Amino acid sequence: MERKTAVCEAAQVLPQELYRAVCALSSAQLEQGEELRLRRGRPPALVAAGREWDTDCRGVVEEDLLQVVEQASQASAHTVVDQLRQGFVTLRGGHRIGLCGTMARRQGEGTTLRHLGSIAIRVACPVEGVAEGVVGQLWSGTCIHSTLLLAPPGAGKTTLLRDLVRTLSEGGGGRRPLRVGLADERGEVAAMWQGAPQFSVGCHTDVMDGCSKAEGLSMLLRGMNPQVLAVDEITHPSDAAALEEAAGCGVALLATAHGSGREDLERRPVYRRLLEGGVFRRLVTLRCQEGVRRYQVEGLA
Amino acid sequence: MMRLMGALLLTAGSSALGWAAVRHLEDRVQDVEGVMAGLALMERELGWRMSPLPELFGQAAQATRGRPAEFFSLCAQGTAHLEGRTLRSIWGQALEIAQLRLEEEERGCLEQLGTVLGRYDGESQRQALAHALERMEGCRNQAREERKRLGKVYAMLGVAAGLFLVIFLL
Repeated sequence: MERKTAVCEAAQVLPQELYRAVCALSSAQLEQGEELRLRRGRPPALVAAGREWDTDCRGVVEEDLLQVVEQASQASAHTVVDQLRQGFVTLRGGHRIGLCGTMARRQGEGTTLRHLGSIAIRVACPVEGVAEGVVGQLWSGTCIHSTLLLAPPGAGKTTLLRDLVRTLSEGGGGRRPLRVGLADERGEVAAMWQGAPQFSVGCHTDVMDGCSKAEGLSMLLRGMNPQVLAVDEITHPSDAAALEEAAGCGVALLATAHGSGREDLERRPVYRRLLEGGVFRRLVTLRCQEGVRRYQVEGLA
Repeated sequence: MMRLMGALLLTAGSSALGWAAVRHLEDRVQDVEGVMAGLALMERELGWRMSPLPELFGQAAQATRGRPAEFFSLCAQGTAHLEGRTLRSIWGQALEIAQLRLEEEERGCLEQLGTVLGRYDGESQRQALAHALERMEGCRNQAREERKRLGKVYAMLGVAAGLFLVIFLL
């Protein structure tokens, strides 16, 4: 999908007047659009080419922001309460709405946003083919190795994981397709919308979202008989425990972690346990140098 | 012969008016019950599957008949393609277009429900549906009572008025 089309698709959740103002921006701006920003009292803005471009429109009022949430949830706020609590809502097409405002709390826990102050709509434009240079190095004969993808935030771990999942699930290049189970707690990999993935994750992929990674991994393992289990951002000891359990069942694993390198991983207890347990056999380190992403694959003993 | 024909026509016309009034009482009961069936289904589904409203409206439309089915169907279509409109406005428009045969009390209850649906968490909406159902049940009992009490009166009045006119005019 062209980025301009993606921007206009994402903008459909805006009230009509704001939608028209966004679509009236120049083609050059829309072609580079990454985010739409709505802030109370300010006109809607498009983030493109590293800066914000204001639209020629009135200032946004809270009613506009509430209407965006209503449109995003198809007038069914109850279906996105958990997402609202986490501060984002996924839209058809995989676009994501980030919400900001005053949190209402009940018994010490945030329940929902009492007042909305601003909204960011991240325009989804999935990239396919980034795993091509990596996937071949993860196989050994007919066996796929459990792999950990490592990079600092924003380096493209999730994009690489999504494309690896798609590639393994679809097979090709002389390799058989594999059944992949994807535990997508925050919906960032598949961007599920009403039960359907909005990003291409392959035709043999089963996605479990709306639950914790550990729960999702366990349910996929018990119920879907996967050959590969994929999960984004291992951070909690319970995630690591679920991965260890899955590894013991003979399932190949794909997971991502924040970190700058192998040494960084070995310093942190959650990952050290996984490395020492031999859960992963390959480590893919991502680096972004001068705007170009580079992947380094190494074996883990 | 002409007088006889006239007398018959007067009686038939007047009786028809009486029967129309009876019919209205029956239609009201029917529509209230239809709406209640749809709302009860929505309440159950909200409590269990937490389905989105377009899906719930669609299910309610399939589970009901006549004008209530049309009402839920309009809500389902509207919420599936919001296009900048709010649920409140779609709900209000559907109430207008479907021409449900309801009295002020039932209409007010539904209008109030339209301000809650889609805006709160599942439990709050389920409670609002339960409350609306409770109020609607009261309305249905009242409508049934009126149908029972006034139905025969209207029918008899229709015939009697016809006969009175015949005697008076002829």
